[in-house]
Amino acid sequence: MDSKSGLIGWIRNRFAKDVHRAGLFIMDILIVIFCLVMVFALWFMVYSFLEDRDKGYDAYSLQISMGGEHYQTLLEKSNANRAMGIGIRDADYEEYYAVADYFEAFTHFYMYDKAGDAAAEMWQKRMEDAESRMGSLSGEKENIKNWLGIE
Amino acid sequence: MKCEYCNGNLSLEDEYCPHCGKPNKHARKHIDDMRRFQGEFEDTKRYVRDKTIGYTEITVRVVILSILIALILVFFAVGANAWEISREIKKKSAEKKFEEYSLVLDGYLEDGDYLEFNTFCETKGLYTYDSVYREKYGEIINACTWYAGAYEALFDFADFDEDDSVSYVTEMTGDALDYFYKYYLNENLFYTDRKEEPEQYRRALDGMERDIELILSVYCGFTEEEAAAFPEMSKARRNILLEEKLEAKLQNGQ
Repeated sequence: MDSKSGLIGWIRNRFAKDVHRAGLFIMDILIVIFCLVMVFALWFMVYSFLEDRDKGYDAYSLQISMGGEHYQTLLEKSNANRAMGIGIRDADYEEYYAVADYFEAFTHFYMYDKAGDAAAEMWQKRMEDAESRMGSLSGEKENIKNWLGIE
Repeated sequence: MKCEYCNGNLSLEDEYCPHCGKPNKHARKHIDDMRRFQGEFEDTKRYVRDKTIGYTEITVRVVILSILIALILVFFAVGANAWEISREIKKKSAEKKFEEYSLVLDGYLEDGDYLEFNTFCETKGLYTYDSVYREKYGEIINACTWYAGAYEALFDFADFDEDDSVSYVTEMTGDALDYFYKYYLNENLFYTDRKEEPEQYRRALDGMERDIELILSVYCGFTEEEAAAFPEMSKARRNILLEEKLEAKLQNGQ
């Protein structure tokens, strides 16, 4: 207990306590800062996963593709959505999917039919199936033919 | 012990002799020693307790800081590699569903629906390297990627109007066709070699080539002879034909 006896010991003890308290204070501040950084890191991680997941395409995006007569893009979006299980049995999506299917089936049917290929029959069935699902968008059939330059 | 005055019996705690009443010198010293020892013991106890509390306070904070730093590093590392992790999870999931997905893929191939085949592979994470799908579908998955690119480019070509740039559309279509034909003609090998080509591969590749040929002749305005010759043409020759066709469309006001 030499350090506790005499003026020098008292001074050393006194400052040791201050240094100790200062150290604890700095560590408390670091803990608060690191907590904030950790919250940011957690947000970054969650955001990265949400950004990377396949979100598919919403009905508005399908509408834009169809309205702009980008039928091949509509087909790609529709196929991707269905593979992800998005919009299945949802009226908002189903009609766009039907238009996309019609486009694919019609283009294949028409070219195979012209070439006298037996595959035309299968595509014709798919075209008729798509036609029956187009509902309020059945007017797109004529637009697709016009877009392809087919009378 | 004995009293030095009357020789009576004493204990160490007796300050005075119970027989003669004289002071016991040894007891005095003993009591003083005991008081001093007690004081020193209390001081030591307090010192040890203060030190322990001090160290505990530091230890707790160091542990908390260490955990926080570890969590921060883990969160940043996982976040930075989210794409790879998601891809790996998707790949593992796809491998488990090999039988189920094989049925779907075979159905698309049977129907000649290469676009849906391609989208399904992309969406479900069916990759051609280091995967159970490599052996059965590797070449077809690769070929379908180029087929889908060519399909989209050709319909963009067919949809050409005066607002589009001839050179841009020519370049895009020419590149897309070149990627596909190189693969079709066995020049562009990627992850699998084609020393022994299963019949399924050739059938699918021929089906895709047939589609491209028909799209060129039916929707893009090329003659059947021109379309049939496309695979064997050089990229430059194809691009010249594509550009001529677009220029002709512009002149005809289509």
